[in-house]
Amino acid sequence: MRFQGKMMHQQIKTVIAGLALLVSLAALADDPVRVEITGGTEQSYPIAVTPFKNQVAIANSDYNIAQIIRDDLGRSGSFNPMREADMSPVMVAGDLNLDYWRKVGQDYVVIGEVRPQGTDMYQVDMRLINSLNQQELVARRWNGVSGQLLRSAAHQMSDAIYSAITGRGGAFDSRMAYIRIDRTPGKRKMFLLEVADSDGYAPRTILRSYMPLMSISWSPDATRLAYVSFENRKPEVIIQSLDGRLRQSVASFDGINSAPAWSPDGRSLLMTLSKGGNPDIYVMDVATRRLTQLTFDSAIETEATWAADGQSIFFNSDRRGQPQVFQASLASPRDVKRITFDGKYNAKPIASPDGRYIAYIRQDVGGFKVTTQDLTTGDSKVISSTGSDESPSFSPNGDMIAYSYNDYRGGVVAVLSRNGRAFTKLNIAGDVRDPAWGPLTTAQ
Amino acid sequence: MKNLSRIALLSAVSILLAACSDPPVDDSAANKATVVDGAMGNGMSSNGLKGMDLNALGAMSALEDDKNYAVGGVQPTIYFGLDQFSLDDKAQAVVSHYVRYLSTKPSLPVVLEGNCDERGSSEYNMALGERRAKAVRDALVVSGIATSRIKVVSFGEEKPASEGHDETAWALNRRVDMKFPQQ
Repeated sequence: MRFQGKMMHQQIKTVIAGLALLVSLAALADDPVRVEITGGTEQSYPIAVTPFKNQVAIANSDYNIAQIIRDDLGRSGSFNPMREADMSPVMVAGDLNLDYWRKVGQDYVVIGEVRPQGTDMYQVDMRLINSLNQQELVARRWNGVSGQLLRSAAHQMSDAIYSAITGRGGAFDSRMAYIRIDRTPGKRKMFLLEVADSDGYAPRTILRSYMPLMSISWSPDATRLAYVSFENRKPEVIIQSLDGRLRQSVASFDGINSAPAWSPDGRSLLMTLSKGGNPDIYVMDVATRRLTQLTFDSAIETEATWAADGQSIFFNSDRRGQPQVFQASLASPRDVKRITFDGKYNAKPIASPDGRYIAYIRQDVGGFKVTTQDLTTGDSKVISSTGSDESPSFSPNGDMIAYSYNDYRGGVVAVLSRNGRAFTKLNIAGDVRDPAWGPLTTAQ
Repeated sequence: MKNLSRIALLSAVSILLAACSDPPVDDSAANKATVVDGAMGNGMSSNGLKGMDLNALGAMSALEDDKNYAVGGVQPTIYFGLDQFSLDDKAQAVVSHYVRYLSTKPSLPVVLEGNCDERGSSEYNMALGERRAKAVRDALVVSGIATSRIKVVSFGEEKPASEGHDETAWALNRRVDMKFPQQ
């Protein structure tokens, strides 16, 4: 590092602050430094994620670590990452100059470095620095990362940055399950159950069927999926483990067997069954397959989802003529409370993991739209600008919502920030729908 | 003197920087990457599932879609209006035609497959599809066809007859298909 004239004093202060922080980091080990945010959750943090030094050591251009982090943070709606094209090449190439980043409005700066460790193996360092007070907030090394795992490591970096700045949990080191429809001309239409990273990269097919698949729900430990399959020309609820060792039909009664939703403790599965004559909500004990009926109305009850605490459920019922969201506690399911009042059609509720919000699909003048409702105030807000929305699914930290809609070429999976500020089509080619956002891949 | 102190400071700084250039190894982070590797290795090879037949499911079920059960030139499909579950005159005429057919084949089972257009949420549409199929079932039963011969299935919005995204397509998709698998 070179020092020049007036800059020197500043740089030394920075270095000393950095060293002091390194010492405290070493002492705290895994306890990241938290920053108190007093301006509420609606601000968007300016951050410069500079190109990682020696990025060229990684041949595959899909593994541009700085760009993966920028895309992650941007998708959240809480960050405004500086575009690499807007960064001064001199400042990017030289040593860290916090004065510069502060002057160009970047409150936070990320620097990093890649080092090859043999064939297709890398060591990656990442540091997050607050340019205003020169504090180093994160200094972490990812050691022995194979090429295949570089994107996961980058998502873990995004999560570390997200947590350090917002004080909320990250969500990027997680997976997205969804249904792909393969319409290869000349071949029979096929339905594929796929699992990709949370940004849509690295898709893997885990099931193929000539008959429709729908309504995916992750087990909270991320080892199993429940979903609906028509492989026997009727809807059945299937549980399948991601390691491919287990696949079982757990509900194939006469009529509808559908809308599975895994409980937060992983023991129970909500589902819709019409074996009693009309669609009602049941809860199944996964170990014993014992069923308990939770709704008893003669109208349609379906699309049940768990409240964050697992003590009550939200569901869709048209007992008032059109679909609306209701809530019932497991302890006394007959005491039903109506939750949605605005709009004629509110369907497919899902609760945020922190319990504060629900999202659902509302029909308004613009079509069917992702809508959020603050459960403490009852205020609801349409947050999507598309009009054929389906299947909203919260990110593990509740700050984003994945959903699908149709555009001119077929189904699209997109992510909205819960505040509605950021909208991102995921990088999943083809006709895709019904996303289900999985739990964090590793504990943070 | 000024230069000397500057040199001293610089050496101090380079020592500090040397320390800085090696961030603390965060073993937990390194382990995380390894754990991810394990999860991927266990669960998702690039080919798909491990230890499970990779041939697509539902091939026999899909063949059913190729069959045409029309009798006497009348397509065994009953169409519905937007958000409708009742049978209009045209629908009633199709039902009457097939009531006559089923009366001549007293042991022939009938499957009623209810379908919706793509608008609205897919699980709610599954319930609506069942409602439509049951409306046709009730019409058959009123005309003397035994309930025990009739099976009701809903495909919701999952099996559109037309893949379009306009009113023409939607009108074709709001339907109940009658099937006679043992015809």
